[in-house]
Amino acid sequence: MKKSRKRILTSIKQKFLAFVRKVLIRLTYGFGFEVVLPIGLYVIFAGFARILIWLGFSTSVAIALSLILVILILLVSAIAYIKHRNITNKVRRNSYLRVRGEVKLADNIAQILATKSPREWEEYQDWLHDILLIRRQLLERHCPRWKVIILTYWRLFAFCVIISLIKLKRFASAARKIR
Amino acid sequence: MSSKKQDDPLDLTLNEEAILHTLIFRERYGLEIMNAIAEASKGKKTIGFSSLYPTLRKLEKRGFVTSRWGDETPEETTGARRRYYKITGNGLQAVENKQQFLATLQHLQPSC
Repeated sequence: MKKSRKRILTSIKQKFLAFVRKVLIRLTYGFGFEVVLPIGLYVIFAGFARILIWLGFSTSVAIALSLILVILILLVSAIAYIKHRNITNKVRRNSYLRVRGEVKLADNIAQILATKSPREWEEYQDWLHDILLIRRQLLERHCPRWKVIILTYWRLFAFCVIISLIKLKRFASAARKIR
Repeated sequence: MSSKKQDDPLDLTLNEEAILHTLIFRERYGLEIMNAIAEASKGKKTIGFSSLYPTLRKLEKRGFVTSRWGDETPEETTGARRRYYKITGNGLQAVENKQQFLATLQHLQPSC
């Protein structure tokens, strides 16, 4: 009996928190953070001060106490925000499927090659494919990340140098033929 | 000079020979060729990316291998596709010629 009551209470609590979160998100996205934050703080500050005055506190004490409350709210929010950011950064760091620096570079190389030099792209795209494939295989085999990053950058660098040399060679032979 | 060299089926470098050997019984893609060479030599002989793909292109130009695009979906971010390589009749002939040449060389007696 007690357990079921507890469960009901926790589910009500969770629903209420979800509702508050929804309302806050709507308010924030609806009016903009710059408007909602000062208005919210002012409402808390003024409301709390009025309650204290109504309870019989002197005006100066009520203002001081409500100021302390506002500062506390700001502090807690800042700590929560920093903690949240740290957790999300950790999650991002652990995910190796996201587009990281070297994958982004490979993507840029692919785009440049495909648009500026379609012949070389057609001939050598399997090389780029295999560079990214071995990167994924190494990460799945739990090879140290720094090693994989250095290796991939080095391979991409070699890929660029050799493709440029091939392109230059072709350009030079074409120029010789024209002459 | 270079075209003469290209036409000579006996003119196969160690890398070219190793690549052709990996393709004798089945078609493979670039990384598979690299792994096969490393595995067969127990890590003593490795071939890098920068020499594998230009060598494969040369072999294709000489008519020793052919290639086809893989049916797999292209790479997620770059859109690059996998390519499978297969040895041709000329390629097989070149490997056999080279082996014959080396065998003859081994058993050659001085004429005088």
